[in-house]
Amino acid sequence: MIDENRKELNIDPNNPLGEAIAMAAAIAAGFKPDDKPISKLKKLCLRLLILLVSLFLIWRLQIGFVFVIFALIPSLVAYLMDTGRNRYLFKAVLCCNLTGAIPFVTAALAPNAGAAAIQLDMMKLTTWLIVYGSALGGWCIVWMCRLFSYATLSVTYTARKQFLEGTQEALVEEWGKQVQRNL
Amino acid sequence: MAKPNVTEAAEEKAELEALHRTATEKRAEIINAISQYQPKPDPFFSRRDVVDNRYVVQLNRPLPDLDTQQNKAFEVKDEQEPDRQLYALICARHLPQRITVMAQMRNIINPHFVSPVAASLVELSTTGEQYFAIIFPRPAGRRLSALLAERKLPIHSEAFLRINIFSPLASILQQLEEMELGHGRINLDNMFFDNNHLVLGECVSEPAGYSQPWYYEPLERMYCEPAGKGDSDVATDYFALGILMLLLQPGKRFFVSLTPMELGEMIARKGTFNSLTDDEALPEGILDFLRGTLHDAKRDRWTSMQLKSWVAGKKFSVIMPTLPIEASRPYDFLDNGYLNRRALAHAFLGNWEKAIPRMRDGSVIRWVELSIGQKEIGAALARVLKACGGEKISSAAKLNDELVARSLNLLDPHGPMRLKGMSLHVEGIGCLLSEILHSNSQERLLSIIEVFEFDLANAWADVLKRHLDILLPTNLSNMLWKLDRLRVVMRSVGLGFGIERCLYELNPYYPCQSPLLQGKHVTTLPQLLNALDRLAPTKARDHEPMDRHIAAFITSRLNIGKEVRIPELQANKNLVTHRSLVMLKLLEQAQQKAGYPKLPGLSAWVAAGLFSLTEHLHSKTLREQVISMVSGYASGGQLKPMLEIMRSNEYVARDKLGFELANLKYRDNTAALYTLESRRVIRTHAMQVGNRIAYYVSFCILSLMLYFLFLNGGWF
Repeated sequence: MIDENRKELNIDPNNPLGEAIAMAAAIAAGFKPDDKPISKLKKLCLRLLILLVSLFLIWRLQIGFVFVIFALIPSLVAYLMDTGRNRYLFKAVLCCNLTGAIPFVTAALAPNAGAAAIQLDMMKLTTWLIVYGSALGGWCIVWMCRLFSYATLSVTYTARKQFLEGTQEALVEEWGKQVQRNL
Repeated sequence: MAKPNVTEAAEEKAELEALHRTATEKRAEIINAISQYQPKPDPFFSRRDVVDNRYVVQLNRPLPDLDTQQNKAFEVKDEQEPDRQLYALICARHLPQRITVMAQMRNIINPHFVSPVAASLVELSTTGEQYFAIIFPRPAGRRLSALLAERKLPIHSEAFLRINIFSPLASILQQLEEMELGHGRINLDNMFFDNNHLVLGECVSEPAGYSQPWYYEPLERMYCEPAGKGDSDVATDYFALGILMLLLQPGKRFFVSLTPMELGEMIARKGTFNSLTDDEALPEGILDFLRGTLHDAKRDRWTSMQLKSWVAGKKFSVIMPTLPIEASRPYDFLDNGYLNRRALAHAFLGNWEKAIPRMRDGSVIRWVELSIGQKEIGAALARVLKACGGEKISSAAKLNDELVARSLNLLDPHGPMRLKGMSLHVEGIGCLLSEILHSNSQERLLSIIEVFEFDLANAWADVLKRHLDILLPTNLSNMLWKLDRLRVVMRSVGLGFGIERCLYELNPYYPCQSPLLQGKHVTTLPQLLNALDRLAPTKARDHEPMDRHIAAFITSRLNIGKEVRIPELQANKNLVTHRSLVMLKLLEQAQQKAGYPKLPGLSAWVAAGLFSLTEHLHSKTLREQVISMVSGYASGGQLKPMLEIMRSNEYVARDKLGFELANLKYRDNTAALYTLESRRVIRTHAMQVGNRIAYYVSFCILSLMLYFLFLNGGWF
């Protein structure tokens, strides 16, 4: 948002005052800065957890781990596409992707099941339809949410714009046109 | 900040015009309100044409025989003593009257003198104008000059002259001498004769000697400006008696037809007695009288003692005055040889331009030192020459004029101060200034300004003190001190200063000459405030409540020495000496001095001029607040709270801070509006928010799936 403002207002990125103006404009428009970035320790723990889970799945599923890798391809694509700090797009797709994949993996992890069970599932078209369908559902949710946000923000922005324009008029009325010239 | 361009300049102009329009509208509102204001009737003028609530001036009965050069005479009816024969002189406003002398002359009780009976302001029913009126006993008979022209007086009889003319005059002059007063108007036209009873006319309705014919005056007053003669003393009156005696003698008097400069030169060369009698065969008693009264030296002139003896018939053997010769060799100037400094000074005065090279070449200095033997005067002349540029002819006219003026003072220290085309005495500066400003003569005004610039008064006094060992009287010393102070005042251009201020400082009883107060005789601050309050309904629309005369009048009465400023508004230099604020401050101080009378008309008038001042405030609300408060106080008739508001820094500070905050807010809002108007920004924002919502929704779906899978015991 701030970067957008910078471009929009032709602000030199090296100018600290311009940076402040870009931030002020974004905040005035209702923008809230993103959440704090994930700490390094948290990142390390997360990677360790992924590694442990992967090792556990490799141990239990053996060749069936290939299913997990293929099933999560849409999430991988989303991960590569989403360059934002919090990667909400990737997370949304991953959640939906996992919703489709986890039931098959848990079935294979049952005590009386084995790697052969998941290999059987991999042979079925419906399995892949469900796994990739859920990932696609994730993409659809993202798209719909963006649409909804756009519609909502448009209304909010219009109202805010009207309010600010009213404030500007009131300022000019009270303090004269000189306030316009002191920009 | 963007650079101002043509559009912005046009916008700024339009905005200023709009502000000005608003102030003008507010001004119009308050002026409309003022026009409805009806001041209470002035209790002082509750009865028109009446002086001292007793003497009714009969305007339908003028007395042209008793008119003076400037003043009109009317019959008067005394409401308490209807049989009393009185007349009133309605005095012209542009000339000062002898107010202090009048107060003393009221105590003179003499059947041969018209002592003033009463004096005060009067509003005339015919014109509604105010004048200063003086009530006198009405003299019986006709003017002596008229009777003389008709040859109805036995002037051949010395006894008649002694008993019927000079005895009454001697009794009056004795009283004046005791009171150290001068009459200044002893002449044939100012004496009334009826049935062997002489009455001397008044002398207080105009400056001393103003309408006195020049030939009645001794040389030092003869060629002075009529208004610049200064106060008269009794020695001058004895001189006038001598002239009167000459005019009462049979035969024509040649000097009446001469000009003051011609007669002056004659007297300076030969002395008054020798010039005027010209070896004429007159009775010995008359000649004694003339020798005694026409003496050129004041201290040797007759006084009441000799006069009374002469009237009683005593014979005198007054020594014949000698010719006034000082020099062993004459000074040649314009084909004439001059044997005394006074005559030479007189000749130089009549030939100003030709005198300049004579003063520059040092010939006068040598003549004074060698032929007259006055080395001190010679050295003083040399000092003046050095101070005015030395022996080289200067092209600076002022320097030449100063040289001649100061040198003439040294040559004839008893004479008046002389400038090119103007002669005057120190005490006459005030009256002369009043006449010059009234006549609006720029040339004469420049001449009188030179008196201040050359410091001629001090130079004149210095000569008297140093070279003649004359101790200056207190009033003259005070006058010199005042002139010193006024030299600075005159140079100041601020409201309440300048030449107008000098006018009111030098004439303490002089009415304010403002064109606004036309028809009004205003001599005190309460009168001024009252008059302005009454003028507000008619004048507020087109005039300011103060001009240079009113400002000078107020600063003079308040004795303000420094230029009026509003130091509280130091932050805004334009406001420190702003005309409207200075005006308000002066009027407020005048109101304070007058004891805070209520002046709703004047306050509103002043307030109307203050509205334009609010234009420097950015805030509309503050402007309206100030205007409303000023209007509110104006209706209360008090100027002090108005001044306090206008000089209060609170509003200025509030406006400044508010304006800065408004600037910041406007800038932030503008930046925010740019953002809000950008589709790309909305899209980006919507994408960020949408992604986050999608994540939460997806997470919920995943949680639900896990719930059903693990806790409900099965997925499908």
